[in-house]
Amino acid sequence: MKAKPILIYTIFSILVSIMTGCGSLSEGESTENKMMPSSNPEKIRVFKHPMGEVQLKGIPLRVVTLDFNYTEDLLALGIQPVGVADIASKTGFNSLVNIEPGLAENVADVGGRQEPNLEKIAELKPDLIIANLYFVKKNYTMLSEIAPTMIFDPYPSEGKNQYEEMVETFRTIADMLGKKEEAEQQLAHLKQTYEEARVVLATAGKEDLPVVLAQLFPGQTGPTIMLFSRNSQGANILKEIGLNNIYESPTFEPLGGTTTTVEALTALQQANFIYMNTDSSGGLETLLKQNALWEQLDFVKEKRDFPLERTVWGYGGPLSAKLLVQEIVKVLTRQ
Amino acid sequence: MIQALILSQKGNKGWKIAGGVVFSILFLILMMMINLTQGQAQIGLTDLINMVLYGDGTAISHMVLVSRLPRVFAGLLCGAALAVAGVLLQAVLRNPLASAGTLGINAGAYFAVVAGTVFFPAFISRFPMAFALIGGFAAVLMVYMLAGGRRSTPIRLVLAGMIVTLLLSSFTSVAQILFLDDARHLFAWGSGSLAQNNWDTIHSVWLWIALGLAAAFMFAKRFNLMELGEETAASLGQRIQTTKRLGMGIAVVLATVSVSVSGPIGFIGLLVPHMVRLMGFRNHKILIPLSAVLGSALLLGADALTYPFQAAYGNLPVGAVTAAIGGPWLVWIILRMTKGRSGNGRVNWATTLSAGYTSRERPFWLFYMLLGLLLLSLLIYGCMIGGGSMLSIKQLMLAVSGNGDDQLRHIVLNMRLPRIAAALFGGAALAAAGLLIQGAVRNPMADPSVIGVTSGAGVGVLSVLAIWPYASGAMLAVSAFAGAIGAAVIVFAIAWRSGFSPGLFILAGISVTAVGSAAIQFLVLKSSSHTAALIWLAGSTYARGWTDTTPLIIVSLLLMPLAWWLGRRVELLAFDDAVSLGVGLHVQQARLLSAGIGVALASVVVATVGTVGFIGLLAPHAARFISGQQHRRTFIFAVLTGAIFLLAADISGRLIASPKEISSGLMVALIGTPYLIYLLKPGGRGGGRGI
Repeated sequence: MKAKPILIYTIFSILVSIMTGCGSLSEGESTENKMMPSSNPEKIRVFKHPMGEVQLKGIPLRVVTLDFNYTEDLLALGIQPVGVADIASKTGFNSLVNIEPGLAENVADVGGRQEPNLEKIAELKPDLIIANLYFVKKNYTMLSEIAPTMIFDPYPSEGKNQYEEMVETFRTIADMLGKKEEAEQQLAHLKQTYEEARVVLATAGKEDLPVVLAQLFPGQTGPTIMLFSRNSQGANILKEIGLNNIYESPTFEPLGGTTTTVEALTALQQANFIYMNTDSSGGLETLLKQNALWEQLDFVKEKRDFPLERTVWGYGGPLSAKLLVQEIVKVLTRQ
Repeated sequence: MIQALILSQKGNKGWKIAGGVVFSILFLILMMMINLTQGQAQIGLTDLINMVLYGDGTAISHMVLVSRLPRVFAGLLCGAALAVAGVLLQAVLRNPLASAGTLGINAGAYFAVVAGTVFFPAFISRFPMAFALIGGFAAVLMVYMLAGGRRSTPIRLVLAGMIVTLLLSSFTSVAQILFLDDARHLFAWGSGSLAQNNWDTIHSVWLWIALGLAAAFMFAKRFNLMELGEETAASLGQRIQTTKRLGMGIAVVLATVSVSVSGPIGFIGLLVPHMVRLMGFRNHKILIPLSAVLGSALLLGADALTYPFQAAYGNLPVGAVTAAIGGPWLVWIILRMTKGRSGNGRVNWATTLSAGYTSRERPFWLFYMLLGLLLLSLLIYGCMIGGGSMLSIKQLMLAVSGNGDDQLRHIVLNMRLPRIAAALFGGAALAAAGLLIQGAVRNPMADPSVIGVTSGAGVGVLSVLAIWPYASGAMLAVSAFAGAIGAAVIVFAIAWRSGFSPGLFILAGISVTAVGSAAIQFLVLKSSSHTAALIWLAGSTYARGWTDTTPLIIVSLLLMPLAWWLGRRVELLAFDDAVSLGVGLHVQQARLLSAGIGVALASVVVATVGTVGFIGLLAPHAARFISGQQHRRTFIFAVLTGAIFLLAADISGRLIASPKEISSGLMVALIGTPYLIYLLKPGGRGGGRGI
C-alpha cells in the first residue's frame, strides 16, 4: 500500500518535470544568473574560450579543476581547489603528476576526468570550473549551469606550440584568480631554473647535446614509443636548457608527439635518448630491453640512453616543467 | 603430392589448379617482399636483394632479420591460421558465413587478453596464449548455444556471434575509459597489428599454428565428406560428432593463437575460403593449403597498405584495412549467393520469429504490467533521491515544488530529471526500435546496432571532430544522428537491391558496420580528440540536460504511438512473404515502414545517449515471454521493460563507484549478461534453445 502514493506522486512529478523542463529552456538565462556568485558586484570581467566565454564578477574563491594541468596551475599559484577530478586512482593526479606542493587532504574528489560527477561538483558550490576542451563535449552545458566554466585547449593547432599554450593558460588562470603577481614570480623562477640547468649542463660539457625526448606506452608485444615533436612542451623545455632536440616529425603532431616503434630510433642513433615511463610496474622497461633492435642501437651500446628516475608529467604547468628539468639534469650529469 | 592431386582431376582442371597454386604463391612472395621494404627506416628493394645475395652484416640486414622478418612471419602465420580456421568452421558448421570473426572467437580471445593485461599483468606476460584460448573457447560456446545449438541456421549463428562480439567489446571499451592511461594504446591493437618486438612471440607460437595447419590438412578428407550433408556422411561411415569437434577444436586453437600474436583481425577467415572456392576448388586437400597461402598473402598485403598511412598519420591497425576491404566483398558474396550459386551449398535464409517460442501467453499479463509500472516508479523515485548527494523525501518534495535549497533544486530539476527522462525515453525507444526491426527482418536476434546505426553514428561524430575539434555537443548530436541515418540508408539500399530479404538485411548491416568501424579507426588517427569521441560514443545518460533530451522526447512521443498502431502488420511480417501476401498485406511497404520507424528511433537515441546495446535485443525478448506474439501488447511490455532496464542501469552506475560514474551502457551489459546466460542454460526457460 505504501507504494501507491509514491506511484501517483512520481507520475505527477514526471508530468511536472516535463512541463517545467520545457519551460526552463526559455528562461534558462535567468536561472543561470541566480547560480552566479554574488560576492562583489563590481565590473564584469570576460574571458573568451573555445566554446564561448566566461563572465566573472569578483575573484572566484571556490574553484573546481577537472584536468591535471589546471589543478597543477592552481597549486603553483598557492591555491587549493575545492574539488579535483581523479585524485587518488592509479592513473590519478597524485600518482601521475606528483608535484610539490601537493593537494591538501580536504580537497574533494569529484570522480573521473572524463565524466566527473556533476552532482558532487554542484554540491561544492564552486564559483569557477576549469576544464579541458576534449573532456567536456558532453557536460559543458551542465557545468556552466553550475558555475562559470573556463575551457582550455591543451593541444593547439599549428602556429602555437604547447609550451606557449601552457604559459598562456597559466597566466589566464592567474588573471582570473587575481594572482598575476604570483604567476610572474613562478615564471621568473622557472626561467631561473632553466638558466641554472644550462650552466650545470655546460660545465658538464653537455652544451648543445643532441637529444631526443620520448615517453613509453604499453603496446601490443613491445612498448609503443612517443617521440616528443618540436611543438610539444617537453621539446621546448629542452631548448630552454640548451639541449639540441634532433627529432623532427614529418607532419604536424596535434598531440605533441609521434607514436611509433623502436625501429624509428634507428634514424636517431647519434642522439642521447631520454625517456619517461608512466607505467609503474616496470614491465615496459623490460620489454623495451628485450626488443631485438634495442641492444644494437648506438646510444644503447654507448650508454647514452637515460630513463628518468621518477614519474614526471610531460604536460602540466610550471611545476611539472621545473621537475622535468631537474630530472633531466640529474640523469645527464650523473657518472 | 600436388602432382597426384592434379592427375586425379579432369584434364583442364589440373591446369587450373596448378595455375591457382602458382598464382597464389607468387602473390604471397610479392607481398612478403613489399612488406620487408616498408617501415620507419628506409630500406629499398636493392638493399634487400644485396642482403640475400651477399649476406653482409650491415645494420640494414640486422634490421631486416630481427625486426621486419618477425613481422612478416606474424603475417604469414596469422593469415594462414585465420584462413584455415575459416575453412574448417565453414565446413563443420555447414555455414558459409562462419569464421573466427563472425563467431565471436576473436572478440572472446581479445577480451581475455585485455582483461588479463589490466588485472593480471604479471600473469599475462607469461601465458598470453592461455588467456586467449580460454576466451576464444568460452565465446564460441556462448555463441553456439545462443544460436540454438544444432538447430542454428547460418544467420542465427552470425547474429549470435555479433551479439557476443558487441557484449565483449563494450566491456573492452569500458576498460579503456576506466583505465585510460594504461589502455590508450591497446586501442590500436584492438583491431589488430602485426608489429613484433622481437622473435619471442613467433618462437612461442609457430609450432602451435604449424601443428594446427598440419592437423587440418591431415583430416581434409573428413571435412570433404561433411560437405555432403550429415546424413550422407554418416552413411559413409563418418563419425559426424568427432569430425565436428575436431574441426571446431583445431579452428579455435588456430584463431586464438593468432589473436594472441596480432589481436583480432576480421574478414580474412570469412573471405579467403570463398575466394578459393570461387577459383573452383572444393576439395579440402587443396582448399586448406591454398587458403593458407592466400590468407597469408592477403594479410601481408593489407599490412603493406598500413605503411603509407603510418608515415602520414600514424599507426593504422591492419584490422581496419581488412575490414575496409572485407565489408564490400561480403556484400558481393551475399548478392552472389542469393542468385542460388553459393560456394557452400544453398544458404537457408529462413528464420522465423516463432522458432524460439511457443506462442505462450501469460494469463496474468495485467498483473505483470502493474508490477512493471510499480518497478518503474520505484526506480524513478530512486533516481530522484539517489546520486552524488542523497536527499531525504522532504528535501525532494521541496525541490520538486520549487522551494528549498537553490543548489538541491538545481540538482533535482535540471540534472536528475532530464537524466531520468533520457533513460526513460532512451530505454523505451530502444526497445521499440528493437521490436520493430526484429519484425522487419523477421529475426528475434536483430538489434538496432546490428544494422549499422552504431558505427554510422561513430563515423558522423568523428568526421565532425576531425574537421573541427571545437564542435559543440549539440553539433555532435546532430552529426551522430545524420551518420546513423546515413548508415541505415545504405543498408536499406543494399537489402533493397537484393529483394529485401531478412537475412540479407542483417548481412548488409554487418558489412556496413565493418566499413564504418574501419573509417572510425582511420578518423581516430587524424584527430587529436579521440578521447572526446570515445566519451561521446560510450553509451551513457551522463550529463543529459533538457536541451539534450527534448528531441528524444518529442521523437519518441511522435513515433511510438505510430509503432504501436502498426499492430497486426508487424505480426504478419513474421510469416513467410507468401503467407503475408495471402492475407493481403503489402509486405515490402510494411517492412519498410516498420524498419524505418525503428531506425529513426534508434538514431535519435544514439544521438542523445550514445551507443547503448542489448536493450533492443533483450527487452522485446522478455516482453514476448509475457505477452506472446500479439504486437500491441508486446510493444507495451517491451517499452516498459526497456525503460526499467536503462533506469536501473543509470541509478546503479551512479551509486556503485561514487563519485566515479560507471556509464549506463556498461551497466546495461552487466545487467543483461545474466539474462543472456539464463537463456543459454539448458533446461531453463530459454531451454538452451537460444533466443
